[in-house]
Amino acid sequence: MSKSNIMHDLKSDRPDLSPPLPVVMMLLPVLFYLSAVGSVGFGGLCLMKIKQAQSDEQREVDSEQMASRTRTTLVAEQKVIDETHAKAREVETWMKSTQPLMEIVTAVVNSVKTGNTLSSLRLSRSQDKPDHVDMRVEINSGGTIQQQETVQALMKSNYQTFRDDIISPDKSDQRGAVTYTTTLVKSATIEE
Amino acid sequence: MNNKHLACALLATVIFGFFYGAMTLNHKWDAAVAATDDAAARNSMKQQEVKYAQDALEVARKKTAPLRKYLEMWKPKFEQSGTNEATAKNEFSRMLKRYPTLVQFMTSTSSPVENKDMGFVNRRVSSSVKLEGDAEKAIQLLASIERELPTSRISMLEIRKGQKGNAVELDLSVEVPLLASPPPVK
Repeated sequence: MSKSNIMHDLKSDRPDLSPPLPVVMMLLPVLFYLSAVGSVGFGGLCLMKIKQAQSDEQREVDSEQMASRTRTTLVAEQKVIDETHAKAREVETWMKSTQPLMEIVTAVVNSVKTGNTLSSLRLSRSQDKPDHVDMRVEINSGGTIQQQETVQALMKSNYQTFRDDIISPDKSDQRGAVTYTTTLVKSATIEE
Repeated sequence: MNNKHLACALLATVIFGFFYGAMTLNHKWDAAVAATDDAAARNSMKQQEVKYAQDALEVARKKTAPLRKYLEMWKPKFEQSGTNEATAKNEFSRMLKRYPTLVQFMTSTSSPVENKDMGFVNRRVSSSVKLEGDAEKAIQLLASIERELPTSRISMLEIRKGQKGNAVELDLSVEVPLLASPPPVK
């Protein structure tokens, strides 16, 4: 049997009508079988890679969902912190406006020199700025000397006076009755 | 068409089938890889967002820690005066009752007033009282208010000389903060 018979293995034996194909044509069925096997192999490889890619995608999606949940938790925690911070700032603002008036009362009362008298002391907080305290002292006797003593005592207690005014017919009365008004602010730098 | 032609057509169809199948699977592979890359990019972006959120949270934690501690410290004192005016009024009345020698002439409590720009310490009630008595006791009362009701603030006080030797008249207005009512439980 010659090599050319390989090309005709599917045919029944019969007399050749035409000359056999050239030997090089033997490559055709070989290439066909190889490409068939290659296609199946390539298909298998593709399927394997698709499965792997789908598995990777699922892993990424799971990780993304977990990250999303983590972020939601973090954002919720951040919100709680922000709300708490806002509350804390309000409390701080309120507490800053509650600075004790006893210091002022004590400073004023202790500043009264022997022989001098006060008839009234009025302290009120400003509605807009509660840390500003409006003070009105009615000095019965002692005049501006006692007023200066009072201012000195307040400054020693770290209070600054502004919008000072003396209400009396004689504003330079050093012995008689004068009414002193001022606004007091606690000195922040010394306080710290 | 003879049998040879039919065989050729069949063979061509088989070859085309192989080719088509391989190309289809290749496209699916490409699409799956692209989908994986997209998912990876989304995941990476989300991880970045988580990192930003973690960093922001950490910064917020550190930055607000002193003030939040301050809130923790003061919150019980604020809660003492509660969320309604009756509780606040009682606190002040209880304080006044401890100084029976100071004669009360008039007491009044205002309706709650809103605190501007505040959502938590959102209201305050103001209680006013006129007293007369020993100067020392009056000073003690003022000290007690500022020491034992630290969240309250004396909004106005006026001390005048009284009728007797060491007596004084004291006009006093004290503001007590009220906290916002908690949301109703469903």
